[in-house]
Amino acid sequence: MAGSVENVYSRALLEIAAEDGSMKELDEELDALCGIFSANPELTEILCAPTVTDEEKLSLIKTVFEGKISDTALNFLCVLSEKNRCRYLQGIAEQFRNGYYESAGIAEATVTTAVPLKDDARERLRAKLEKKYGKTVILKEKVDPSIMGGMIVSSGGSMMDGSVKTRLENMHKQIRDMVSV
Amino acid sequence: MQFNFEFFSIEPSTIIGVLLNTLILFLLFKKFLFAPVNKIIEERKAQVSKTYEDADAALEKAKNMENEYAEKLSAAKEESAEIVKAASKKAQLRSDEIIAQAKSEAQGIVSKANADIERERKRAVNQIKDEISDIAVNIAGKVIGKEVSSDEEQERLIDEFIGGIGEDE
Repeated sequence: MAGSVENVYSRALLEIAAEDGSMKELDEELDALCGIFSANPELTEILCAPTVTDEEKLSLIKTVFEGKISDTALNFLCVLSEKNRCRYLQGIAEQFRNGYYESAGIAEATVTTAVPLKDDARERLRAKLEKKYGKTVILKEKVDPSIMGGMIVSSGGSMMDGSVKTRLENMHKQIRDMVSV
Repeated sequence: MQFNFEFFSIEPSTIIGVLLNTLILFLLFKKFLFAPVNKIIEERKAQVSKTYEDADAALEKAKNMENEYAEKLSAAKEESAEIVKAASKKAQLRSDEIIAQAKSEAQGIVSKANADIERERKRAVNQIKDEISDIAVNIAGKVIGKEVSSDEEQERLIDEFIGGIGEDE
């Protein structure tokens, strides 16, 4: 469960985005920002540093991001910096995405396969999942050869595991249970 | 032959004199001889009789003491018999208790040993079975790994999974 800071900020952002209908764009921007901040940890360090003045922080944010991201996102960053909450960016973005998906009827599903998914398989999977969840499904694909074959789909709290690795493990467990004295 | 009968003469005065002499002598004897002698004899008698009485008293006392000792002895014998009886009863109880305790301890040891053996046996059997199942699954994994290494098989598995979504509801 995310802390209250994330909740407060993400809810405010959701309200703003709902008003001007920019949820999808803002979600993408937040995702990109998270990527930039995690790739450049010194950015967070500077924005959290007590030795750097607020003006310097705002000027840094504007120099780096002005014109490249929406005003909403830029203002949000400025507020975070002013309130010294930059380290919560990741959590706020996650909460925002959850709220956005919930309000837009979107479900995110993580698909793990041993080999990359082919286009037709991806489309069939998306269609099946959308039918099953009754929501628009966004697929996040992962390739993990250790599952040997088949696929694992996890969404929210549920998981469907049709991997060869899990089947083997189940078989192993069954054999163990069968022969245990 | 001439007998001189002078000294045979019987003179009444002489007779009376002799009688008076004798009486006086008797009275003197009685006064000065018989009385002290009798007194001594009486004293001796009293002494002897007292000695006898003392002896009787001592005898009586000795008999009493003998009886008393006999009673005490018999009481002591009874008491010692009681003590011995109580002690032997106590010893019997204690020995029963020790034996029972030893039996239960022995039983505990035996059942613990049995449980240990059984647990160890199960552990060993399970270990062997685990190893066997590990080997079996390893082999199966290798075989399956080879089989699913082809693109066709991977696609088939993915299609199978996609086909199965929603069908279990």
